[in-house]
Amino acid sequence: MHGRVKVRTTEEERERKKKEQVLKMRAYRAAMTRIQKKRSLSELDDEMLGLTVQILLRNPDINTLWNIRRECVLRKIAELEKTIKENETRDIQKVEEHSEGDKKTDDEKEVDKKEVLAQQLQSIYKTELELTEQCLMVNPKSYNSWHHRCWTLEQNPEADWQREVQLCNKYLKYDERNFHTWDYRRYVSEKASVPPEQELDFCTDKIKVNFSNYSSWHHRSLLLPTLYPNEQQDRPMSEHKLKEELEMVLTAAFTDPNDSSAWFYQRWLLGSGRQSEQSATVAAFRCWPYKAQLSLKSSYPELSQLTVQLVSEQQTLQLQPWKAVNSEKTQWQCEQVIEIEPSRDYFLDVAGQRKQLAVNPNDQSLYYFVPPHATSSCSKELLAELQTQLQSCLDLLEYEPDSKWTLLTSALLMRAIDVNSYHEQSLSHLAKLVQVDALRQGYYKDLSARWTMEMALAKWPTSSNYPQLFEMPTEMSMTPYAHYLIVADKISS
Amino acid sequence: MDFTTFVKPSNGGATESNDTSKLQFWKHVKYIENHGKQEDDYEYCMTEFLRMSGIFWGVTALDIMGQLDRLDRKSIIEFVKRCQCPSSGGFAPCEGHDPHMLYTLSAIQVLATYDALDEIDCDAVVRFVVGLQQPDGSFFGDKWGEVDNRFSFCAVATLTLLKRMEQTIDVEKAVKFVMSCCNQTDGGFGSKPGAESHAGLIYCCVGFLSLTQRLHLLDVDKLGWWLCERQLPSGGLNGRPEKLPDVCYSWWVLSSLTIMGRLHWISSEKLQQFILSCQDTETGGFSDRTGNMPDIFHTLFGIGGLSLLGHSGLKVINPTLCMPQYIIDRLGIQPQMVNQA
Amino acid sequence: MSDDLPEEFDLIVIGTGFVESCVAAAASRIGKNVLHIDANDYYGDVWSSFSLEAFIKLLEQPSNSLRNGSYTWHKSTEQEEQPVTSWTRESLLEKSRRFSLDLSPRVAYCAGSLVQLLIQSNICRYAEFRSLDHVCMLYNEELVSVPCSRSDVFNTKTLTMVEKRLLMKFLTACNDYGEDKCNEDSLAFRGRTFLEYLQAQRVTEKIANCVMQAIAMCDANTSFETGMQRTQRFLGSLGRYGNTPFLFPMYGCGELPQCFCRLCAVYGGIYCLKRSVDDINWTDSELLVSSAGKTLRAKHLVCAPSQLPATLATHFGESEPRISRGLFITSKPLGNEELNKGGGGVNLLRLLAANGEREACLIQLSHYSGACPEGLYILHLTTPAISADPAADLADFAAQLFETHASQILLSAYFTIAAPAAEGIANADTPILCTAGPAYEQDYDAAIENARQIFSQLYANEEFLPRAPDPEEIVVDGEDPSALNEHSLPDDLRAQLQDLEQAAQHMDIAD
Repeated sequence: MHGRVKVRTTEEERERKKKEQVLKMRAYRAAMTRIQKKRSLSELDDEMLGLTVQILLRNPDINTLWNIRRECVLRKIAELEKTIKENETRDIQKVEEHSEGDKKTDDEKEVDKKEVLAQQLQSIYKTELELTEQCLMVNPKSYNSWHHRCWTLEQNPEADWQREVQLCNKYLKYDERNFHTWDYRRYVSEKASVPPEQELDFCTDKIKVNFSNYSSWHHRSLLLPTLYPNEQQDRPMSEHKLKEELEMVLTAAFTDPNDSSAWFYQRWLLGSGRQSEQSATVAAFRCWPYKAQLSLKSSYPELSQLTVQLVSEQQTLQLQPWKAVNSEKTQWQCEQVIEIEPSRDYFLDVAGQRKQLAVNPNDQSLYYFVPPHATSSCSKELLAELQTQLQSCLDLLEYEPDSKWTLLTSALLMRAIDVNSYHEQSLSHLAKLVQVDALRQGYYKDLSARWTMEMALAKWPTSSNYPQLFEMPTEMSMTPYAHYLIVADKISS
Repeated sequence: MDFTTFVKPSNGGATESNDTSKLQFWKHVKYIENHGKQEDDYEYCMTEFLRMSGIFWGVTALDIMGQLDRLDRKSIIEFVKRCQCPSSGGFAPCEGHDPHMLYTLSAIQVLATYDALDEIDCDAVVRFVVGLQQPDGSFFGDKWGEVDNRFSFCAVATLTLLKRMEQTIDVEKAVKFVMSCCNQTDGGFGSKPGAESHAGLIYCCVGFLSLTQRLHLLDVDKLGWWLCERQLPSGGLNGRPEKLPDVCYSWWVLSSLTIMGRLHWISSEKLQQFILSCQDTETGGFSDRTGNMPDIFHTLFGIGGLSLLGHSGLKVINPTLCMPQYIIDRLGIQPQMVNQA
Repeated sequence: MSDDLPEEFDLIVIGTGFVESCVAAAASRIGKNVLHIDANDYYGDVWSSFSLEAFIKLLEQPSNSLRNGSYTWHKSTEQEEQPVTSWTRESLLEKSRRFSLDLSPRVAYCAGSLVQLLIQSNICRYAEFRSLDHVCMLYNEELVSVPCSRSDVFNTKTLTMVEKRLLMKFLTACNDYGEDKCNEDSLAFRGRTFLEYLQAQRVTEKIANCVMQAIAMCDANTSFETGMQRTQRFLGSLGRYGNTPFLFPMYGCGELPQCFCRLCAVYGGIYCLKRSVDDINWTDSELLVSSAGKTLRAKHLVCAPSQLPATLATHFGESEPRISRGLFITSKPLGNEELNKGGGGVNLLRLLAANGEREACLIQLSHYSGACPEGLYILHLTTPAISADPAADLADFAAQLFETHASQILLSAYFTIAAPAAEGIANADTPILCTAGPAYEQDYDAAIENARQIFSQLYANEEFLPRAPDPEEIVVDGEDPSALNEHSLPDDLRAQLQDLEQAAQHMDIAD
């Protein structure tokens, strides 16, 4: 249904097409009727297989016909296995009956017979594989054909997985973006135990041929973290490899900055690696004699599952139960009577993380606060690479001041190098992006607000009004990180 | 049995110009009404293997346009009932075909729209869905073992509409499987673990998390950026980077952004222009791209997209279930949405 | 053969070179009765390709169109340790027939006039090409590959990141140039040189070299418009066949005239080789050709300058040196391994000398071109003649190639291709239409234009080489093209229908 151009045909052509369609429809209906009749009679035979082929070659998306084929295949296999078993039992009997002298020739016959049966079995699988191959020629995106291929291979203990990897190479030459083929490739290369290094080389070759290939960058992103692990988990992969990848992706982007294939890969490289999903990291905490509020860096499904304790030298108080205040489940509240003695040292303990609490001079409440997003520091080599890249981007902006990709990338590079000193400049790039990429102005505005808020929160602990007053940065249309502000008594705009 | 018998005698609409800057309302109504009416309609005949979904697309589009009464409720319900498999409880796309998760959801959506869920054996449907969940939390499409996040969505959507999500499937495991398909590079999802992000599958997974109240598991900023980058200068959205825009991808991206509270990250105005440009001003209906052949599938997603964008004269559509909001309200279902942060 | 030859023709074409064959094919294609003869025992005249032995023989027998021939055998200077691979004169001559040595080698732009003509006329089904592997340039005396595609630019190590962007940007701008007529550049640079335009784009020296030498193929005086047009021709030919914008005919350029001759013959043209013409006379209505004691009559006559009878040649002016050619057979390709992957590239290099005032074209052929045995390479060097000494004309260029780039030359040969000047041909006072002879050019633009112009002089209102149908496209008279009978269905559908209808007879279909 996709991508068919509507062309005004001549009357002649239309007539011709119509006639052909009527014939095709007649053929389809007759075949379907016959198939359903045979199925109801449980005639899962060669004729049935033949009938389904005729329709599937034209329309491989008819799931039911593949189901019928699978029923036929299972039936055939069962029959073959039955024959094999019968032969075996007969042979055992024969062995018992016959004298020693005849045994040898019987053994040979037995081997032959087994061979023939094994071949018959393989030819059943082969027929199915060939059919799916033909159907994939008709429609390379047919979910059903791909699945039938997988199913057939899974049935066959002697499946040739290596051949399937070769088939993927072939198909990816025709269409390097077919995600079915890439999915299938991951599946069969695992079955064929293709080493990940080899897969990475394949990816590199594909990118060399055409770097406008998101599928290939994606495949790469799956392989690298395993092949080049990063010990600290704060980068997607080892710094050494990261440097190489950054260079490759920047080369692609400089060759064609309008091609978005590598953008996401690059931003991922510049990011901070896999976020640990399970841990609940405390961002802010406040506690009054009658309730406690706790904000987390990222959302956590159910805070009550964790042990949250208020610890002082004298006592340890369990805070329970917690209720989510916002839908993101980052801000939680616990209504409980809490005895606070401001002169004591208090700690908050969330599942083993211990944070020292301070006292709000205003209302004697206890609080803890750490600003969001501290960039993870990087090695000298990586920093040097980032700086080279930033310089290249800035050079390029001299030639192409409106280049969307370059504006965004340089802003991201700046923040990866030094958030503080580049703060204003990175925001000015976003402001420019609002103009040059107006379709996404909402995104850039939100991102700008986010960065602004991150900066304001980072500076807040050093301000004289901390923690009583938080001064909202100007022109904020939205409030990201609002849950960090539970520590403040007053928020001025 | 074809679509003809579902259509009541029509009384025609007012004449409209062939202008693609305006919604050709009555032409679309007619297009859907006439779908399959012509005897020996080749396309119609060859697509019988997805008839149940076809009916859902037509019924929903007409309902969004406030014209549901143009189809004959009774014969549609009869048809749907005939497609329920007596042994498995699942629904086939049409008689003579096998039941499948995809058509089971379509059938339940159609019945829910007609407020006719009590006419079928709902327990059997639940049994069918539950029976297809795998130990790793994923779902098969049918007994033949294809695994895909589309089926995870179908499963929870079906159970949500039946209000039977509790104590049936293992939701925790189902969530875990879907999240194991989340890609680190872009925050998106593919059909199975390791699969490349794809707008259609992202819709399924975001919808899944919306129905299971787990939207907090999404990296909204990362995924939102990838999604808003789907908008092309034409205003249309594509399904993956460097692909052509398409009305159906426009729906999938748009509904995902809406669920995530990030609709304002793309230009609604330009998207509306694109969707309208995909109308066939002669026959009615929407095509995938400007100038291509219309079909019923893209017609629903065209109309649905316009509804999400707030086009006048259309009922509000629910982004998670792709059904009119009034039906979702009537059922008392509340799929989760992220507040615009 | 000569005895049963008819005596009357619409057109007699003398000489089977590129232009003559083109005209013969075009005339035959529109139903003209054509006789095509050549004094030689081979097709192609000075556009032909030869075996090694035949080539050497040719150099020893100077003619009107091929003169100043000389050749030298060189001793292999290859290291003693590898005597197995060393080639000798004898071992080369043993493989004589494996060579296709072109007198007039060319490359064709993938979207250029030759390729367009071959496709448009459907003559392409007789032709086979090899895509060139690399377009090269000399930069700091080093032979480097010019990036010809996005992936080339992406992969090349010779450009910096910013240079990559600048080159891509420049090429994209050239590619889009002309779409916007009000483009500032087009106004600002009208009447100036392409070099000035290039300099204004703030590109680096390396990129400027790359564009001037290899892409736009310009010199400092080339106008902005010409440079832009050439750049666009280069870009427009990219991404069609292979990685570069150029094609080379498999087994040499001598194959091309024969492709046209084949079409001519398919439409009834008659061929006679080894048939020289003694004299040509004419009346008001026809031309009389005396050949082998017979008089052949034709309404029109087209002749290659090289095959004009001596009595008539003077009408067209003196033949003069036109192209100076060098031909080298070597056992080592030019440039590094990167340029010669898998046993040698088929590569193109444009050379400049005398402060960019003079240029030459080098085509390197490896065995992949089908024109020489594996392990050997042909280097074709071509420049517009400025003297009657081809070796002297090419000395500057040969020095650039061989002094810094060690090469194992086994045979070096020089010769001149001569033809009468264009004015001489134009001013000739005879009804004979004389073709122009090879000119120095990339592709076949001038040659095709020459053929087209002669054809239109002969048959003013006829189409030049319209598409020839494939055999299976020929429609039988009286058949209704819209009729769809079961015979016109695809085989499988037809068989299916028959099967099903048979099956359906045996059962009651509840429809």
